[in-house]
Amino acid sequence: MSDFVGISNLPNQRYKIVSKTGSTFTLMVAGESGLGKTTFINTLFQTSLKSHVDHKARHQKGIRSTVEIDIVRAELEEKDFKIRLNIIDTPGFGDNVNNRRAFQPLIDFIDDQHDSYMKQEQQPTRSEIKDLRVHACLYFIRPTGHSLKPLDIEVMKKLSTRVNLVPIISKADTLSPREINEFKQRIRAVIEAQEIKIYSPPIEIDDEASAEHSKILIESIPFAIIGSETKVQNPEGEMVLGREYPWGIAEVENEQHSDFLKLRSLLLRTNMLDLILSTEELHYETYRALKLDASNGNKDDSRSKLTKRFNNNPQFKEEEDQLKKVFTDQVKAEEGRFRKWEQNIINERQRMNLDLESVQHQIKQLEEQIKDLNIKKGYK
Amino acid sequence: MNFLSSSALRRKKDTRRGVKFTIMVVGQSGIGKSTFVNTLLDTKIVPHKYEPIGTTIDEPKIASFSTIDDSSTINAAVFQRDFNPALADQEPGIAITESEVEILNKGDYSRIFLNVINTPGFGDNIDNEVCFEEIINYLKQQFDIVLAEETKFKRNPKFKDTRVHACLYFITPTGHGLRELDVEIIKKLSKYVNIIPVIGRADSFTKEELADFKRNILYDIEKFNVPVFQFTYDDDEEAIPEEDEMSDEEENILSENKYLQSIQPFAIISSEDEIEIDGKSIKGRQYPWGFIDIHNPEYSDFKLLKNVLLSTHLQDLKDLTHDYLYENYRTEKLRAVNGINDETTPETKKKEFLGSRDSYIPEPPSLSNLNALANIKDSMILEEQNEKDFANILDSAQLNSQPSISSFAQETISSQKSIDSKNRSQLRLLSETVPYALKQEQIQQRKQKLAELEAKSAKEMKLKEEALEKKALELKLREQELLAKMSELGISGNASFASDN
Repeated sequence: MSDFVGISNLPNQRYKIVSKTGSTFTLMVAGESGLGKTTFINTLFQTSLKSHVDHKARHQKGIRSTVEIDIVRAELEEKDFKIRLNIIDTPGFGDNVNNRRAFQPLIDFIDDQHDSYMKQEQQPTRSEIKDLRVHACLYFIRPTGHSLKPLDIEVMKKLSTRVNLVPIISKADTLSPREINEFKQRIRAVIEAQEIKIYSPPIEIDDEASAEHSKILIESIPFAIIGSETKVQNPEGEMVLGREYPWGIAEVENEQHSDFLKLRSLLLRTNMLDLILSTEELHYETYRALKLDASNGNKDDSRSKLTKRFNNNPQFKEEEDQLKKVFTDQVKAEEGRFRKWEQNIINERQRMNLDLESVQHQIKQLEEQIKDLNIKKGYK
Repeated sequence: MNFLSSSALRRKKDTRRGVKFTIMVVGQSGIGKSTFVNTLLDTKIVPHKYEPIGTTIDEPKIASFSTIDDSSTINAAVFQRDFNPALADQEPGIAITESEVEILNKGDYSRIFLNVINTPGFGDNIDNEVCFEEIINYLKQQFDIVLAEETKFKRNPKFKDTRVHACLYFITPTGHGLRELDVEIIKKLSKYVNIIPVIGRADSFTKEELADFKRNILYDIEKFNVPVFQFTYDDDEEAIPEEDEMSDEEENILSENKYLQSIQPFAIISSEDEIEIDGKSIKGRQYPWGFIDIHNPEYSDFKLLKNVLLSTHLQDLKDLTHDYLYENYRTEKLRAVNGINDETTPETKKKEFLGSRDSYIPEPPSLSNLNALANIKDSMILEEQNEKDFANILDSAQLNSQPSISSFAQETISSQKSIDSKNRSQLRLLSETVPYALKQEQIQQRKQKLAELEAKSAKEMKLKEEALEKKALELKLREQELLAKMSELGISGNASFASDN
């Protein structure tokens, strides 16, 4: 009756298990405030996962001057498949006068997740592993129309070695198509020249359709997006997600207006698994290898870690630099003072010498006069 | 109400001569500063950060600049025509550029000489502290130049007032409110210039969002005490009925100010591109979903701001700068300088001495300074030494350059001529020392007296000397006579020996 034993049913069994246990996906959003990070998250999952920061609350604690890490957990269900979402937000990034240490909390957070996962893995019982490793990081670029700023480059460089980095031009509805094109080209050039490794979807050679899709995705990096939580009526009479301006309606899901659909496809529809796997295989593995290497080479792990932290933390470095600067400035000022002093003394000496000379000259003259007189006297 | 008529008179006078007006634009790069200026003046006078190759534009004069890293090849002062991605990670520092343009109003033939100060690089660095200092220094220098000119004996009739009358601060369109950077810079700059906050790139907001954003900003301005330019109107003043002189025009001004105050901060959309619609070319932005006319008052305050800057409030801004901001600066400056000479207690004097070391004339180093540095508590000794020190300063100044008053003034004039670019800081130093002029004069007089006395005594000495010499000569002559007599007597040898002494 049956031609097959049932081994080929394994994928189906697997599917059952997977759909029962669900999956975890962690997404980090980074970028200056006011670029629409929260709006984008809410647009992406079409629910209000995150509430907007209450503006009035700021006044109680004064203007925030530190970068915070804000985690939102949510469980989404679509066609009986559950996914546990972790959204990591970084409010306060890039808001300050001095942003030199703004990205440290981000980096620390990513590293800490790798670290805690590794520790949990090494435990004897590890049935319940808490996994907060960041699978993808969306970096929001301000739509200046110029290019990336030094801060952007610095942060993207740091992030790209640790996580799947996806650059995004947010609020793209303030740039005209021509401007977006130029802007994208410049950003791509900078990314290439600065050797920033951004995430690019894999091109599968045997599957032409998906390869083509990936190519399109790669070409439109960095994605220019518009976010909106409200539905408006477009000229065709449909209710769509969009932004209603006095001069027209910018539609979120219109390919002509934004790359939102492409980005959603990259993050959720086609490449989610790839994002999760590459985090596991590439970023976690490199971190683990580095870590184990370091602890093997140096027994005193905790201490070396501490010193490493100290060495790597720009805050300390900055303080050190400042102290050094103050010191050298003081030394310089003192030296300058001494030099001036010396100069004054030299000047004084010269003046004295001149005085002395003139006095000597006078003496000479007088002597000569006496001589003359003597001669005269002798003559007479 | 006489004030108004006098200012109206002044306006008339100014119209004929042409008005000099200086505005500064400050804000993060990429929020449309350059575009705004170019749109405002309808000419391309400020270049964008990256210009496509082939465009020709006069590069504006660079007033000053500073870099974060000396070795950096990227510099905000250098305009990058072609974009170099390999260097994009270097911090640009900040530059301050000046571009001048003359606007001719065709209606009443009034002229405005507009000086536009741009600040490329602001907010582009990872650490933006350097930008603050650079801009503040620039503003201070302009005040100092005027101060130096005022204190001069002989004023330069062609003196150019470079004080900045208005500063447009471009708020980054976050939709949230003011950020730390915004609050800090506005607070710092507002001591030296009228700040008009504007929202750049207002086309990123829908109507409701814009209203929200404006409300948040106003709330922040109030909460954090951010001093921005106020369009003054007074509710009480209007109510006085017997004030017949209150003409319609004045009432209009009041209600206009009220309106402007309510609309602040101005939301601006600007564009250099002209797009043809219905046969007319209109400045605007073309999006796939619609077209923005920047002059449309429904969503862009561009027209309003242009009006405020170039006609209705131009004189207000100038007056406020001169009567209030500059006056305050001047008082503070002179008081600070005079504070050193005041008779104060040793303790405060010491504090002042330590605090204001940088601000007064370059002092020669001396032991007392070292003592002060080491915070030696014996302030009595310190004071004594300080006084000596002060004498030293003047003495050494005398030694080094012999600055009599006339030469002092000459120095100021000559430096005035060459201030164009670099000597500003030097001049600043000079202007600080100008208030010393009177003090210097006194000392000078005393010195002259001394010199005269010396010369007198020297003369006397010479006269005495001559007299003595004469006497000596007479004595010698007598001696010779005696010798001659003695030789006659035959005992010459001994006498000649004795006369030698």
